[in-house]
Amino acid sequence: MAVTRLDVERIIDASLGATPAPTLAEVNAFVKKTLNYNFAVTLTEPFYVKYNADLLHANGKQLVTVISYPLGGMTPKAKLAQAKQALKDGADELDIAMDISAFMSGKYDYVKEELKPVMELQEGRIFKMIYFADLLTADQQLKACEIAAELGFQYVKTNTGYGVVTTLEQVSRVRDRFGDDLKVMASGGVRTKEDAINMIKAGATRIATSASFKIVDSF
Amino acid sequence: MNKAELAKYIDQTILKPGVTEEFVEKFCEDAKANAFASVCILPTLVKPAAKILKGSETKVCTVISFPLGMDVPAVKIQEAKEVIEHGAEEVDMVINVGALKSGEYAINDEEISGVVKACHDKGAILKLIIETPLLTEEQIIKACELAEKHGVDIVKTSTGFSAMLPRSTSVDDVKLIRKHVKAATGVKAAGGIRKTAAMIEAGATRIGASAGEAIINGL
Repeated sequence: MAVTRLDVERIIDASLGATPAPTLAEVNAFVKKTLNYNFAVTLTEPFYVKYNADLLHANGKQLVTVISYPLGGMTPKAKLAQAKQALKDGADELDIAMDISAFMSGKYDYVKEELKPVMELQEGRIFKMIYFADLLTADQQLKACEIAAELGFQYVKTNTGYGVVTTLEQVSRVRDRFGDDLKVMASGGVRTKEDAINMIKAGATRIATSASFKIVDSF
Repeated sequence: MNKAELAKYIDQTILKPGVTEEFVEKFCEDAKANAFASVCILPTLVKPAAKILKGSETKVCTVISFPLGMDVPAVKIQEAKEVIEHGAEEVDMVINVGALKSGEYAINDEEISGVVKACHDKGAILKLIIETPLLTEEQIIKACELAEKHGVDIVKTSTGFSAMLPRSTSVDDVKLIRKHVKAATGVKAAGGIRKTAAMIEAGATRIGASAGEAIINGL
């Protein structure tokens, strides 16, 4: 079956991406523009959440932000404080980076335990675990996804998107193993309509991109 | 300047995601042998680094809200407290660049004063990363004023997070900062530093480098 504009639009996490450290006005202009689309969520960095949550909610839209992003290097209490603050400020979803150093050091139990207090904040919200697929072997990718599934994440997010391109194999690997039990969001390098359609065919049920308007408008 | 004198300028740095504890231990042993000023690592690696560096002249340095800087003040303060608990003696915090560029200086006042206090209460020093590649000359001067107002120990040019930045730190950045902070305030040049001697000549008192050994050996 052909993938339609709406099929793509409604699974996009739209971000401002390429603009580093935008002003409040720039973020607000971006958020206003997303109101005209049917994206899954609009993404802003944590500081901007409280300035934009009300506007999005008043228009029936949702907001996501990022935790321990983009290096996965924040300590447990800081991560928890960041997550609590984001939810208090109005975030509907969280994309949370796992402790990638601990994971690479083989401390899988620690990676899991460390995220438990954050997961207690979930209360039915969609939380996605960023697992840095690009840094991991195929087996490590599946191990990270197992941890995410055990913790109760609904989604894994392949990569942070900074300078990394998500492959179709990374996406299908999660889809094939976990099916609907753990969904996969493709993040990194999705720039065109074709990229998006290919990711959907590989099994992605969310797509993070800063090319959201361009992709949808090209249908 | 001889090798030992030059080593005192170097913050030996590794801030990429997924560095293992084993790697960091070796990295710290090498830094200690070279008597670098500090080792600069992500917060999750402060504990293993502190184990190696405790009692040596090489300090444990880490980064707060890195590399985006877009966290609310309370989260940055929490993160600073936690890394100091874990053994950090030097804290490099990214300023909220979006707030600075938006003229929302009250946000910068709150985060800088809060993190300076968290550091100084525990005998740690604060370096404020102002991200010169994203700022105008006027904004760099404003950031220096904010640093001085709150008693920041060292002003650091940039995160060096090249995936997001339009350029490296320049000699002119260092000169401009030097001109607008007190003589007792340090200046750290970081982010794609190639000409160490020129940076020191321009007023840098620290150099952030991933290749500290090559620098002191004049390679």
